[in-house]
Amino acid sequence: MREPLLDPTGDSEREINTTLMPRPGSLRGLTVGLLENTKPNAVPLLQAVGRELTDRYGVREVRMFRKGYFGTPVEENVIQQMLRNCDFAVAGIGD
Amino acid sequence: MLERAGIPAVSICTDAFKITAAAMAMSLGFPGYEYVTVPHPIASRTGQELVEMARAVVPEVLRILGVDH
Amino acid sequence: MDADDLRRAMEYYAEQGWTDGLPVVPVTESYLAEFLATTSRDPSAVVIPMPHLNRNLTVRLAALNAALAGCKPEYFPVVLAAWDAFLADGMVSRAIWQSTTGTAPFVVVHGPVRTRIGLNCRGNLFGSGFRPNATIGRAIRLGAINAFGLRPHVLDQATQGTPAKYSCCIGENEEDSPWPGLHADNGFAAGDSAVTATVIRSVLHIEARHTMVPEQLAHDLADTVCRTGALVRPTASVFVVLNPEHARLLDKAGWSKRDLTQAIFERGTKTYRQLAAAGKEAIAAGTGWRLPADHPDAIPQEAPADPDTPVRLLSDPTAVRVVVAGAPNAGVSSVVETFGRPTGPPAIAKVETHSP
Repeated sequence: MREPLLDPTGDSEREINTTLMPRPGSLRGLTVGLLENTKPNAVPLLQAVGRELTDRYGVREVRMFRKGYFGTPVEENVIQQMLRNCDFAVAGIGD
Repeated sequence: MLERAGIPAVSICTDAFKITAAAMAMSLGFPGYEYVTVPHPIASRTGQELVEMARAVVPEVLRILGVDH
Repeated sequence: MDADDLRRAMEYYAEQGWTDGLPVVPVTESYLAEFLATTSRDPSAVVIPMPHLNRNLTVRLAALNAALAGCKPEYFPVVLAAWDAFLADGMVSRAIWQSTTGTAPFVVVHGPVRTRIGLNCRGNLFGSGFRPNATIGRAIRLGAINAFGLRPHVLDQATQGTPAKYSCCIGENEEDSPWPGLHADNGFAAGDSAVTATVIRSVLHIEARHTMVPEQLAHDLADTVCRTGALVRPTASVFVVLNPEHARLLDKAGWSKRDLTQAIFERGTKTYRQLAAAGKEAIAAGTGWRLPADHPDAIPQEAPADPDTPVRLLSDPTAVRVVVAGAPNAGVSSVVETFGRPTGPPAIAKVETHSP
């Protein structure tokens, strides 16, 4: 009998999936959300990443968001704003 | 969480933090389970150094996002 | 049946990183249903929450990993009871399996379920060769790797680990023991099936083939229990797994399990000089761990006038829990070094008997 093999990690059932999301393929015309965690130099590094993405890869818009405190999860309203306004996200910096 | 609603995400960590970066990404509630590393330290870098680091790390970011480049 | 298909399915699980290094049993929904049918618990019920990892072990995931491990469905109530006991023991929830200390899950099964499923309680107790022992221990380990994501080098930071991490599940040999089982000492009826669980560092071998004197056996055991290498906490905590021959020797001399634990407790010391030779004579402020007296974190203390003053390395006799298991064919017993609940009653959970 043909049946799918089950995933023992529970990832396939969880709302948060650790497998990668469908990939955009091209960044042309997309909006990137940059999430900085208040660590020193997080903002300038992310801004530089944003400039690379717009200059070389066709990203249309860069938006910067801030995490309230580096040690705790990102706030729900920040997540919602990123979801509403951005096509993908880059966060930094863990150190 | 960003992943739940479906936007791809990548985290940037310093290489001093590499081994637990995935754990950090998950536990901080930022779902970028895939991460790219930049050389430690960050805090003491000049603006120009940061620009160069960004240039070096963006191709990795694109690889994770599945973008041809 | 196409053996190539079967191997392809096993390879798929290996490629996903869903194994412990050994091949696993591919699991489908209909097969999983056989495991879930052995319990009245809801598949979505959380057995162990792990909020700091954003993960929960549900009944369904516990069953999935039991099937993956090669358990038969009838073993699943034992696996569930083991998880319940790990929750009660407390260290799993406190992220001990991420720690450099590298502990393994340790499971002891008591009561009629042992016979029903063919769990080994006798010769080659800790070794491989019996499906229930091999797969029940493995079910816990795969649950840790898959359901909690505790992969070595990533979230599992064990420095060296222990071979017991492959699987460490034994049955108490109640039939050959002069005493009631550990579960009966701790509020269960002898006829109940129950599981004791904790996290362990080592299984140490004791050869005591010729001693006829209980105090000598107690001394031999205490020497291993209180070895300096085991000490990071100020005191030690163990299970003594006595083979039935040693148990009968003690019983014939009029000793109970309590007499044995008391005797080990009294002999469970090292001198200040011996601790200092290993750099473990002082206690750290903050962690409470043992370290040298000249370490900057050491709580200041006066060294005793006589460096050969004995230092107690067991808090009380309940730091030693006695289980009787193995073959009654030689004077070989074991000391299992634990890092779970250190004293008082061990964590024991009932095995559910469920008729669908």
